[in-house]
Amino acid sequence: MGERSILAVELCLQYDRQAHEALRHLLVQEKRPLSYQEKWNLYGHAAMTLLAHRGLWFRGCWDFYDNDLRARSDFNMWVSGMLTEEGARTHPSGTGDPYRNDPRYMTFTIAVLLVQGSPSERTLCRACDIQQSRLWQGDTFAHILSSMRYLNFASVEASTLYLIPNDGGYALTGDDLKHPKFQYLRPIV
Amino acid sequence: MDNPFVCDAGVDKPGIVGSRWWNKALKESSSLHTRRSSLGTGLVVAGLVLLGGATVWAVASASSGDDDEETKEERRRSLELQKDYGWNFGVVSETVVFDVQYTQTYAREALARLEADLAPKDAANLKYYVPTLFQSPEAVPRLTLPDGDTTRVKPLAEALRPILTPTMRDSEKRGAAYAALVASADSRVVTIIDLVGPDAVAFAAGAAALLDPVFLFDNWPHPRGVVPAHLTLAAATYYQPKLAKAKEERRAGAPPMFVIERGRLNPYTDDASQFDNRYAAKLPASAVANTDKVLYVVPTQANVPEQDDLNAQFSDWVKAGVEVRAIAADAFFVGADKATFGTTPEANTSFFAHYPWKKPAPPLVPVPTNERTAAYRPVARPAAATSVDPATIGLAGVVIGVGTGLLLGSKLNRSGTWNRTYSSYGGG
Repeated sequence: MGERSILAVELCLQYDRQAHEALRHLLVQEKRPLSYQEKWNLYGHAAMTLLAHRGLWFRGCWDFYDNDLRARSDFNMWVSGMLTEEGARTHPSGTGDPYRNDPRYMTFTIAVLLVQGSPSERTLCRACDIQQSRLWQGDTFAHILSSMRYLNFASVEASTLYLIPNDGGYALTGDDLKHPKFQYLRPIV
Repeated sequence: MDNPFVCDAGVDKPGIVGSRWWNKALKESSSLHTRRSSLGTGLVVAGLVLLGGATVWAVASASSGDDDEETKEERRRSLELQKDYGWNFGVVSETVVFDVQYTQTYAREALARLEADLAPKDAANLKYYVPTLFQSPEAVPRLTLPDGDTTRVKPLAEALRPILTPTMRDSEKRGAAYAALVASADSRVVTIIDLVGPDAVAFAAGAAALLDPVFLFDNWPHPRGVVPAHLTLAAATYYQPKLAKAKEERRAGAPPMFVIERGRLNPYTDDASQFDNRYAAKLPASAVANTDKVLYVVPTQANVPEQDDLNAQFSDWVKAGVEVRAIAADAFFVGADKATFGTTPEANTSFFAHYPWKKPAPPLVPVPTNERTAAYRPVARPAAATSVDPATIGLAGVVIGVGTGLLLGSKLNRSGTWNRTYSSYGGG
């Protein structure tokens, strides 16, 4: 059994209808089997859409681990976060008041389980070798997202993408983000 | 392999949308595949359920002998589990039993109108209405379990039968007598009915000509539910025509009566044999916005103080100057045709001597079965607040696949394939 690595990125953005619709469009397509090229296109579009809306970035988190146990465990954790709808609201949050500092937020999550030692995985490993002081800088997130183009999906065993919310009326509130379950999202500096 | 990436699980709800994909070309090398190992071999169960625009789905291997997925236990909201996986979640071969059936003609089609027929008439009361129970009869699962168990779920409506018990007949008469008195008070009185489910519905039906019922039944029936909500629902189906007619004829602005299931906090002890469909009453603080008088109806005078989930609200109202009083339903004596407060017409006339909400006050005639309730005044009980923590009631044990994150089944169901790996069950 080959060993695995994981690359995961989650961005929390201020809710913007246009950006939300662009990201949502990527996730509501037909669930037919996809080729490697189609998967690459999908993840490339996701990364480009996030980069195009950098001005909305609020918080984020990214990881790269080339430890097999950690990679598998973390991938399950990311997927579980989706299937259990852990971070999603079950009731509408309303649209907020843009004049009273009451913005809404959305999160977009990307995680891929990579074959360790493959050229694609090694390239991403080097791309993710970031100095501690720069881990949570916007430029670093941009760099990680741009590096998605190095993904070779023949070396990707599993992947997940998800967006919170699906319906804009269920966008996250500032109070939602104060919940301990969102503490892993760091302010982007 | 032209299209090796297969989407095998995902969620499409208002709060979240996403999916998980696997590369079939690499699948044999991962321990994460235990539940997907038969993808493409024909041994696949695919669940795709559309309901109200929301889609949740999963593809998982059918039960196979080599399933060694690691599992863990969690507790999740019972009601959400029932909505997702069926009203009899975990015991789909079991149903509910109605001992006292009303055998006359009953139209199942009318269940579709149950929620609307039993809604408050007054728009101001509509926002307080909790129709959860009335939404259960025709509901079908939104999700499919990996073992396909939920595909066998039949709607509760197939088992549901109206009931009419002797105590319901009495309660209906008591409700009518109660309403006639309370509605004649000099100012608005808000009623809170906290009786055993079927009797609560019957009392409300009796009072519905004069008072606007606001049902607060916030659970679903379950074959092993500690709250026998199926009986409350069966009583509601019996009284549906009467309540619908009363709603049509009731004058606008009638005082509200909040109707609560007394068994909502029944004792619960065992995940493996019981289903926790309990809930705390959602009694709105603003229910007293247009009054300073509340009358709390309990079965007998032995049933004060109020239940723990009401104590904080009652004491807050008292602090705010609201007069919160109690009355025993059995203080209404049931005769052949009607009920009266106390056992005599004089006692009935003396109602406002016990509850001085109408002038001039009549002469007092003692009603021994109501002495303790009439004398009762709520006081804050700090322990009550901690004894009914909504975060700890209405939860059910489930088993989750650690590798997939998928819900595999209920702790009530010990025949699931996942039990083979959970030593503490010893079954499967």
